[in-house]
Amino acid sequence: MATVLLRNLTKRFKDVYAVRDLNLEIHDKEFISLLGPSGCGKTTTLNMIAGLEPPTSGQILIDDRPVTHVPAAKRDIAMVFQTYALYPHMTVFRNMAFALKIRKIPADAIEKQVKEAAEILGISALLDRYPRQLSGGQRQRVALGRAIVRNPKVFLLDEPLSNLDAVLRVQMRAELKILFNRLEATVAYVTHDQAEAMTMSDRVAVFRNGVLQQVDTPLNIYHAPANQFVAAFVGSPPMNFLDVTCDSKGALCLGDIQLQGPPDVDLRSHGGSLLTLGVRPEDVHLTGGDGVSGIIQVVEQLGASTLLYVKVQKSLIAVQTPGNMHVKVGDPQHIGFAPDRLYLFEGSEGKAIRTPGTG
Amino acid sequence: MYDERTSSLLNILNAATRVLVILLSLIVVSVPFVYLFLNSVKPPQEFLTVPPTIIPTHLTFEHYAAIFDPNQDTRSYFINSVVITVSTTIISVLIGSLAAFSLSRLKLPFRLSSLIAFAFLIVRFYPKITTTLPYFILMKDLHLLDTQIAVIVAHVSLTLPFVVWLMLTFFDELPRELDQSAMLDGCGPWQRFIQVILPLTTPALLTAAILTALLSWNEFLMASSVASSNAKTLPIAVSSFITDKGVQWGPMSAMSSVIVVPVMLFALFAQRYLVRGLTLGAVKE
Repeated sequence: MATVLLRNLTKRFKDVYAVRDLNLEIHDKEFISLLGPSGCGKTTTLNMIAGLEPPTSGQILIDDRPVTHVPAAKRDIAMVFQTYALYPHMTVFRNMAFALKIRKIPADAIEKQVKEAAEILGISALLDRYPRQLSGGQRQRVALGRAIVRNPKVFLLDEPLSNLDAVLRVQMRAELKILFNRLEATVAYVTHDQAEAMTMSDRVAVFRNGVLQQVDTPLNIYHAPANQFVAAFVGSPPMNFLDVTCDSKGALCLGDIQLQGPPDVDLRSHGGSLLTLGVRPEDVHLTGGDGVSGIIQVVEQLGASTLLYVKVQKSLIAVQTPGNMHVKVGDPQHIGFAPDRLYLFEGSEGKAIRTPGTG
Repeated sequence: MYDERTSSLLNILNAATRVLVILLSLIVVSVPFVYLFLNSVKPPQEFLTVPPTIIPTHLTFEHYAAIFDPNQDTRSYFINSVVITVSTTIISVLIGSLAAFSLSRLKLPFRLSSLIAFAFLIVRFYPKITTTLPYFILMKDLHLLDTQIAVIVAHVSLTLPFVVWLMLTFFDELPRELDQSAMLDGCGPWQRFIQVILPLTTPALLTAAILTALLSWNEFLMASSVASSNAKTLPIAVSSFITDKGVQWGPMSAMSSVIVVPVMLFALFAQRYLVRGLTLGAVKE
């Protein structure tokens, strides 16, 4: 397996930067997710690693060897496409054997490798079928099989689960994790689904408008986001954001309500400035009479939990409560925030000045 | 509003109209062919009667005998036609599909790909007659007049734009991921084209081949300008029955019927592919 190093990588389409000055190291045997909304540059990054898209500037190194100008065919990289891109005129066996055949590997060795890969993925019975005769999940496995049969240096996966239905997606998520653990593979996985990124990865790289925002372990991304964008993108239901002012004594005010700020930071240096307070729905709790008062606007019964949207002044705050809550729309409700679970962001970029952290 | 009787009456009227329209179209298309065939088996004297007989009083195959007479050159015209049609088809489809694939996949600066593709299209815009004379002079200067090569080159130039555009549409519709997947699997451009792209465009290739072959087999204008005797094709042979001593209606009809037969057989065999090829990609599988 291998390491991948991206150095000052930039891709520009006319005046638009798809990827901007990206520095990222993918360690040996690491599963890294490239996460972000559509158009954030994650697929372009993957295509550049694969050699399908030449970078405008910057360098790509695989195992410390510069490959920036090496054609895709010579990089020894396997990619699983969102659309699977199976060859429609070939059987599953031939689809999986194709890359080996191009590399002139002897027929008996090809057969052995394909059968092994098919065994791992549980598609041995499908080898004689054509892609059109397969279900979405089976095609997905064949696409994976086509990648793993080659034992490449790096696996690139471009939203491989997005064409599957919800149940299958969750199931494949677990299977993929087991599979790549077992292969001890270096994997770059592109997704816009934060649940996939969080559950499968060793590290997550969050992108926005072509710029890398943060690379860290899933838990650090969740509990110690670098900025407001990362905090908002990761977590479901998403984090609540409230515009607060900080007075000269370092106290936080939501309109005319004074809130208890996080205990471990001195906010006096931010006195007089506008800050954004972040709090995750699971860190908001209902109180009998303390805290902030509001009116329940929406009640979402999810079974395991109940999501309430409480209107406090002009903001709607999501509150995650137990599944057996009996409240109704229009009820007055007091809510409180755990001070040590608060996030604070400042400036137009929303840089984090306080997060709960993982410690 | 409608009771059962009026609605069933309307249905019958509807069906009748449809049948009528189809019948009329069929007559318009087939009457010339039927008349051509009847003429080819009509005794010579009946062409001169006024009014002319439509149905021959008795059948005769003397005109067929005349055109297949060993002293006639029908055999060599037929061979010319076959050689020219087959060569044109192979060359056009081969070069055309390669050009289309390159145009579809190459990223040339300044939208050059679209410009080149458009240049191919322009060739189809102007009347063929405008290039006939320059083409004649060109072939004369190259000492190629009245050779099969001259006709083949002319036919390739006529059919190539059509092949390029047909194939371009198909290649453009093939997902790029298939190319990319093949690239990552280690294929060079040729391997990609031959092992991945071509097998997927077989119906389109067949359509292009069939239409090219028909065009070349039937083409008259260019062939008549550069092939006056040795390289004469069947359509030109037909026109040579119009002489200064009058028109030889019988042999002309017989020859025309003979030309049509291979086309009809070919169309019957090919229609399955034709329809598939022309509509392929229109609806997603």
